[in-house]
Amino acid sequence: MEESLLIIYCSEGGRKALQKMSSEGFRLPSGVCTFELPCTGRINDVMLMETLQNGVRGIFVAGCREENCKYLDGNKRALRRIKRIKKLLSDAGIEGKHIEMQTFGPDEGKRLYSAINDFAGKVGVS
Amino acid sequence: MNDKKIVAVLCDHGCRNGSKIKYDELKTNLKKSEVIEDFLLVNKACDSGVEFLDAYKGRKILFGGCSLLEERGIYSKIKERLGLKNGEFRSFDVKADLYDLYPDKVNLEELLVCKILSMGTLLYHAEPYEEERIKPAEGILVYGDGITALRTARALAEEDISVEVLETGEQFLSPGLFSQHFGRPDQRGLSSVVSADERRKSERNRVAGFKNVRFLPSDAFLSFETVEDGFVFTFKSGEKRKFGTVVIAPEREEEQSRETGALNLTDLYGKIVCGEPLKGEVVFLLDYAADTSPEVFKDVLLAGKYIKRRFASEVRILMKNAKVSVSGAQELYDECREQGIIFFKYLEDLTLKNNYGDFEIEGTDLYTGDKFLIKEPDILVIPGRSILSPRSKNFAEALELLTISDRYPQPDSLWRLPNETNRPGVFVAYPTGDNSIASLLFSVRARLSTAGIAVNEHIPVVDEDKCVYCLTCVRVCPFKAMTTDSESRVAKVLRTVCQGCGSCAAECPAEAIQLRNLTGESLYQGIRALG
Amino acid sequence: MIVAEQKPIGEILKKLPEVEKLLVLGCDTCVTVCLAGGEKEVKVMCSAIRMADKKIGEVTGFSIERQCDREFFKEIEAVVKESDAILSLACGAGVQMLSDYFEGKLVIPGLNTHFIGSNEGAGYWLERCLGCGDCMLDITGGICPKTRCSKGLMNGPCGGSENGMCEIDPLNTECGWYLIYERLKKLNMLQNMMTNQPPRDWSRAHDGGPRKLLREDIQP
Ligand code: SF4
Ligand code: SF4
Ligand code: SF4
Ligand code: SF4
Repeated sequence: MEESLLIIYCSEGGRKALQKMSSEGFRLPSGVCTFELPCTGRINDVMLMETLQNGVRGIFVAGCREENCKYLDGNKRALRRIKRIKKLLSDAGIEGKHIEMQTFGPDEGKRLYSAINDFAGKVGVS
Repeated sequence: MNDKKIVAVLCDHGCRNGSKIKYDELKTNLKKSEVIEDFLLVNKACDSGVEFLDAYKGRKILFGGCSLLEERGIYSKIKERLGLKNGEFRSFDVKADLYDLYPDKVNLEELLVCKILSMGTLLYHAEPYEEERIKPAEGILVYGDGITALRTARALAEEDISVEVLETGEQFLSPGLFSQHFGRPDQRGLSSVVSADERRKSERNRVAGFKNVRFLPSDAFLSFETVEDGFVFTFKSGEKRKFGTVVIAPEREEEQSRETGALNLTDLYGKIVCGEPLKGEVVFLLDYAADTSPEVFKDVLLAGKYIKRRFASEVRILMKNAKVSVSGAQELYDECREQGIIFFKYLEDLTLKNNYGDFEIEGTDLYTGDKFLIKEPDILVIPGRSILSPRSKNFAEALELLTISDRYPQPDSLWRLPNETNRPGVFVAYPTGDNSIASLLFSVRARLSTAGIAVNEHIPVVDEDKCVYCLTCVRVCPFKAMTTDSESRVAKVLRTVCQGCGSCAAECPAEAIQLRNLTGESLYQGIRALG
Repeated sequence: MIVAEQKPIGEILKKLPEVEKLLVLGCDTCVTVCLAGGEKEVKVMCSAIRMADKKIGEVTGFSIERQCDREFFKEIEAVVKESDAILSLACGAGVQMLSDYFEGKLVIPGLNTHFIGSNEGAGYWLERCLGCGDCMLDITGGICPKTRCSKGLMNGPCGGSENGMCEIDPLNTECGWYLIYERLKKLNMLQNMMTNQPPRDWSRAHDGGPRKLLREDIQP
């Protein structure tokens, strides 16, 4: 897991964006693993921190667009949680850049692709 | 924890890699893990039948294939043949979730091992369970005594559905729950409803003619409690009634117009219903308070068309992001343009000034680049986020519907779930035309005729020993599915209401909540297995 | 309930000595409910410390029912013995109790204890009591002037009350005495506004060292 990057996506918008991405011919960088959750709202601090602590280089979370969560505000809560963890990490002297969440519409395959690549570049996984 | 191990099966027709997969290497790697018992490769699982799995009765099955297998019902066949319960079978779309995501040159075996181990770990930790359905209680309560409420009641009664109408009455529900929450009603807003009173009375007489409609007096109701299959209302007489379905039928929204002088759609609709002349310059300002949903945009087009035709008024529609994506909206839009309704697509620089009800709107049109200035229109309509009347919003809050800061029931998702609110079983009927009543009827009927509401797969389970009864879950659940339970003194989930999103589990400070078949532990391990 | 907030992790890290074994100890009562020091926070804190660039050998997390009751320390005696320092995620009372009980151990506070308050909604806590030792809520209709009035006036409001808000922060802070007035009006007890309240008896508040509450009926 050392040099790898984890993408956690929700089974709604995140999943659709990922499929759109592949159908448009974009491919994930190697060393990227994916993990699906029903809603990004399930992500919590403990899970993210323990994963980072286990040596993953970065976690990228892809959820639905803000106003579009099937569960009303799971994605917004996740966004806030991730902000909180980023702050915790940077306060602790570990760069907060290792974790990031963005929201995507089902048709935003290209944006997802470039977001993942930017993120991979930032945390140094290629 | 159950100790059934996993048999992983992969369809090797693998629309891309086919038999290039190195089976033996894969199998050895997989069998190193303690959760995988065996690994099989099949060719063309979509055609090969499911008998080959007979030897694996009593194991959990993880199946990786393409979407065809789901479509052709292969997965349900497998479940049936092997007698697998929920929580003993899982599938993943190996093409979409794996092959298609990576470039050709990657080490496919490695990725497959990760994927299978990760999914397998989740499956390994899953508890088998029987699907459970809870039937909603029978009664239907319509709250409101305006035309919308009455029409809703009539529409339901005509369908042979028994309805009870809890009339709000001229005055707000007196002592007890509501006034304690919301104080006294403001009398000012009520005067404007009066002109519709005649209409209302005749409609009421008509509705009262139905045998299956019962009217409950406005001050009859004391308190209520939510239960799994509905809402239990306690009436002053001491009677307790359970309703599985509640329809909040708001009449009009008074606050916004009182404050700003601008109308919202509901107000406008009220004026149309009451036959008030809408002459002069009528301006619709869309996307201003919030992006206008496609449904609302269609309503605006309908209203604009009606006003233009009926009163020959000057109708202008200012919009930014509104889309004609609802069926029929495009034709309507074209018709409106033909009739001479003027559309502006404005840029960010739009300003709206309000001098005590005299409005001034200034902005730039996106297409022409021209500046426009609209001074003192006779009627300004701003479809806001809020559609419910203050009374209904109070009621909604009492029913613990999710509300935004100004306490209106979840405006954002109303157009996605046209009538049902975040509380399954609670509907909102709008005074915006027959459309909404028809779809309301549809949903209510569907609700009544189902074999019951299925309990979500990922329902939270509260660990009674760990729960400190802090109520965090009660406060964060977007569906208000978590409640208090004074007997056990731990949080309790209303199983029909929960949608399994996991927000409660994520925020619980005592880690007392685990989602069924998606426990924290299995998630950590599932993620770890990716490594 | 006691309401506390986690110290910024940077500050905690600075305070932590470079020891071989560190114990992070949560408290399952007040600070769990106010989301500052429960089991989840302990886990997150442990992960954060492990990841931070700090020379600490081993970080263990644990959480007990209450850190302000001696009896609950029994179950962690062994763990504490093993560790060189404790980071306590309890309120000030808990931290002190902990360092009293395990005298030889260094205890570092992980929280800032704020006030006695109520939970007004998800993620919103409001101070409601100062613990003044001389409660007068009967006179003021159940709203504490010492706490809710920004100036702690006994006979308010002052001239800075406008539209129900306090002049120190007209956007966010309600005028306590306005609230009292409105409440008394509802209770038909407005005459209470007219009676002069004597200055408060500070001897019952934070005075002469820590206050003690002794109840002979319960004592052994
Ligand atoms: S959030 Fe957790 S501890 Fe708090 S009431 Fe809910 S289940 Fe109990
Ligand atoms: S899983 Fe989601 S919907 Fe269900 S109780 Fe928890 S927060 Fe509410
Ligand atoms: S130690 Fe502090 S936070 Fe913990 S129970 Fe006691 S008073 Fe509450
Ligand atoms: S009067 Fe004193 S004891 Fe009573 S609420 Fe106020 S601060 Fe607390």
